[in-house]
Amino acid sequence: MRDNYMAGSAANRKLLMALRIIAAVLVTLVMFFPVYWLLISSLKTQAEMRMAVPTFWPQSFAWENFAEAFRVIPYARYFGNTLIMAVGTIILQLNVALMAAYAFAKGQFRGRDALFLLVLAALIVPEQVTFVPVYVMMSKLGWLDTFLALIVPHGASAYAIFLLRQSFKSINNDVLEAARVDGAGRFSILYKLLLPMALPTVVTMGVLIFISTWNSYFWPLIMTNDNDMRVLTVGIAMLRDSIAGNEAMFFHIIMASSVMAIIPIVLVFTVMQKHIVAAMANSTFK
Amino acid sequence: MKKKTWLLTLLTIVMIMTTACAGGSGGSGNAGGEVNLDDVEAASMDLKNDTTPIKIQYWHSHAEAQLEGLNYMIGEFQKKYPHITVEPVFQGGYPDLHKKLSAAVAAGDVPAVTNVEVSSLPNFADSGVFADLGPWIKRDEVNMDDFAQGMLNAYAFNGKQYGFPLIVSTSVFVYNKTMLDELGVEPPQKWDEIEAFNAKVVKKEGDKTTRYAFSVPGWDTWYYDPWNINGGGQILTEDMSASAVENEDSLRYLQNFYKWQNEGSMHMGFGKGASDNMRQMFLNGEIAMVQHTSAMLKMYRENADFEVGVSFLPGDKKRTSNIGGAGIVMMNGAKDLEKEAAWKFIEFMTAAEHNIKWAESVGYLPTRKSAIESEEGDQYFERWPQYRAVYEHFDEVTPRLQHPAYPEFSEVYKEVIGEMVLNKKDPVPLMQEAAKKINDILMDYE
Amino acid sequence: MGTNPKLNKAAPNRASASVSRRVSNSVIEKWKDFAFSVPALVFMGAFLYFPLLYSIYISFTNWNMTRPVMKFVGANNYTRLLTNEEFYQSMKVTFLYTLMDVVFTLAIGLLLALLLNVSSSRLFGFMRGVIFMPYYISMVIAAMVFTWIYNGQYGLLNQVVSWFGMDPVEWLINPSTALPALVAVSVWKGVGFAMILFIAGMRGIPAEYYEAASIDGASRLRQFRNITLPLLSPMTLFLVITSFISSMQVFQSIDVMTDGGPLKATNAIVYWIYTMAFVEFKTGRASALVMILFVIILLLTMFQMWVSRKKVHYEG
Repeated sequence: MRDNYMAGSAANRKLLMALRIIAAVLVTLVMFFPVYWLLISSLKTQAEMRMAVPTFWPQSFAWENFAEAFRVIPYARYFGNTLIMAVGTIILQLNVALMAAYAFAKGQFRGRDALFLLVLAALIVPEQVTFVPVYVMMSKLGWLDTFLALIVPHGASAYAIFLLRQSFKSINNDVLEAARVDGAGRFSILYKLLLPMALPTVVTMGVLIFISTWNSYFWPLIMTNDNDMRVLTVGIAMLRDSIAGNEAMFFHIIMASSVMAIIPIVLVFTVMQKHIVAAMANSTFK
Repeated sequence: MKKKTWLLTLLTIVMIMTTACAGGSGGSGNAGGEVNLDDVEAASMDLKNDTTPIKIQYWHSHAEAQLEGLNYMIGEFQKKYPHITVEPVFQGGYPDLHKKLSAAVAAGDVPAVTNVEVSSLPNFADSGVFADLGPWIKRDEVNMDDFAQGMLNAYAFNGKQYGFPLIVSTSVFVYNKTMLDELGVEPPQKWDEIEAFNAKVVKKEGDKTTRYAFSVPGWDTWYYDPWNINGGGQILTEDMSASAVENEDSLRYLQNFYKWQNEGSMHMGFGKGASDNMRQMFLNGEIAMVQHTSAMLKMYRENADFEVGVSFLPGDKKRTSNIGGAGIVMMNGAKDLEKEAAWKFIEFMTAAEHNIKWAESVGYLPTRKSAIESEEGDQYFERWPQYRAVYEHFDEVTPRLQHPAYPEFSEVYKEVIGEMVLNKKDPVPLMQEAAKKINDILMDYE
Repeated sequence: MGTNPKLNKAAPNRASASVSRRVSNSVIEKWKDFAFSVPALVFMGAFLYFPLLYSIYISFTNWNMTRPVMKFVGANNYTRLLTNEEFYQSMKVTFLYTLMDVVFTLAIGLLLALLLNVSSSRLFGFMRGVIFMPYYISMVIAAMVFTWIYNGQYGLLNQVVSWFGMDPVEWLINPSTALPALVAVSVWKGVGFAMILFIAGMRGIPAEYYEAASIDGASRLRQFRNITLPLLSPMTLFLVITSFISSMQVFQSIDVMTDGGPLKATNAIVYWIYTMAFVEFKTGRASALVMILFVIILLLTMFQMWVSRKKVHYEG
């Protein structure tokens, strides 16, 4: 196939492949180990967590850790909140980015490249340094403790605009012109022509936005004060705070709630992995 | 062409600036103080008797283990004042709570009543974030003498009472009574007794200590500030204008710590997670006695397979221990009616009536003398004999140094302790350097 | 720049329209094009550039978020920062972290890509999925798991280390190991993503290049050096710049694992800004630090772009 095994005899090649598989399996195991550790720690009892020599398999499965985690964290509520935040952000950010990418890749107007640089420069601003004015703004608008405060400030992502623009740029202008001659407007060109052609990149962007939103912690922490508006990451970190000073005592519970928080995202990826990785491989990352 | 590009960029910036001004003027101006209430009027009798239904938020840091007690108290409160609804909101540990409070103040959108960690009170109070409770105290004739004076003073600043002690702790020595009884030693009450105590308790294998006599936490200045004071020293000079950590008396405890640490009789932990380590070493019998917050006593009692005792910090020129935990305060930015409701809640939460029950359910110390002397108080001490050691020194539990810049400059001498613990450096010369930095911070402060 | 020449060719009927109409038409078209960028610009203006400009203004004052008064203090915040040794310590920590993070993430990512780029195998596809997994696990959770792994008393790492006859280490409490410990978490999380991108880049390289090279008798190593590496350079540049920017802003893992300690060994800039604003309540000074950080990242990113102009090979 494409793997460029051209040199050497068949036997040699087989040996190489065997070595390669062994190495790959070893690396994979090492990479997976922290996740494994998370899983088994969530099933250990407090006493087993604190053994001088850590055990690699739980002596007995402490499912009650999960019951306890469920008791402390309103899981369904937090899960729903996280999902709404993630989906809302994907929809808003993708549409804004598609339009902007179109303008910056195919549009013809003065100052285009300067404005694009302004957009790109946004990559280098961490949210830890901009949130105070935004918080004040959200408060004035009465948006605190609503999904608006969680979603709207993330409406534009420099990263998404950049990647989609790259992707659009690689599409030949002739195709666009043909559509334009047929009387297609900008929106239909963007959504009916460019979007399907750049689909791998769009899907990849959607996935990346989902990952970063699902896992975001800082923003939802600051923008929500209400128990009912918390998301999973904040809920877990709060759990950690609410047993402050006693951290080691309750680590098994923290681990159990962490497992609950990553299960949805792991499921999504396991089911969709093939498509996601394929989309990522085909998207324009240059 | 080039010019025009720049023009457009400039235009965009102007556009953004306009947005900036619109949002910004509100953001900076309305920071709590603007409301400018006449406090005496706010605490009027009319408001006191107003029973318009009202809902207030109570921001807190009550950990999971304290929630049951909190819910009970809120339930009782609502029985007494049916027109007031208190919505408790957990905001994380103290650092997170304080961050959220300052963001809320900047936005001019504050809860009516909140917790505040005791050492951060001066900073917030100095900014005018908290309401002076004086008028309400006067109006409702709260018996201030019933509180332990040190605890009350910890929530006063510049002569005004901004809050009441709610969950009060102090640092004590928690000791392995079973072990000390076997060895036939008592926890030291004076610095002079410490070396003899060490000699009897420390166990070594070669150079390595296998059992430390005691441990003082290095990760929080709250634990060794009283050592400084007890040695006759100070953190700042009397008028709070300059550092005093480098003075001869202020260095006495450090010289001792350095010596005890080097000879392997004293353990000190530093950094995140050091608290867990210390606790585990104590539970394993590798440390005979640990200085820790009284709030951890319950945890120690539940997890130790030996009898646990409590002893007040040993003294020298003085004998004191600092107040920790959090108080309950009212936000200045709240509306009049909210403030009235907040006051009722504050009064209720700190009243003598529920004082023992509250303290026991959250694992902190009772604050009311009348409650301690009551029959309920006697029963409490029967269940928690360890706390007697604290109450024998009730008046020696004192406020921490109150300075708005304390959270910042205390980091400087904490670093010195860190250098001593982690890098085995002599703290005395380092403290001279630290003093310069502290003075710099103090100069910068106003 | 200018109107697209193809437009005129493809639309001959427009040539008959009057000159003035053509001009006004094309102006309208340009505005329509511009309009598509407006949503993004508005969002960025409101939630990014406004806060940033506001921070510039704040950085010249002594504002404390909780205080109504704001006094103009000129460049005082900047001079105090630049004369403070803590600033240089924090910069050192940030750069050290960034350097280690970028180098290890990219190098390991590339090695993994070489190892795991077997397109026809289900097993390899599965393994790539597993290696990618840390990328989508929340940093909050990852940091907590690693806190436990690094624990001095019951940690897994000390157990592993003891098999090699070494003494246990307090990984997060020891000033010399705390920073590398943080880097390791970030690398663990990031290598899967780098690997996927490198593989995507490798698959974009036409097979003929390798065929031609092997006919010429070039060794695998030489093929890698002369074909793979140069043709991967756009991807590498992308990864270098994005991971540089995110490493410079490291915050979450510090917040969970070390609080900037021990002895400021992990007090990276963004974390310091955060504590300055919220523990010391010096919003003005924190804003000044934001500006300094912003300028540093901007300059370094531009520098990277400039270097890359000379080095990066674009196909075609």
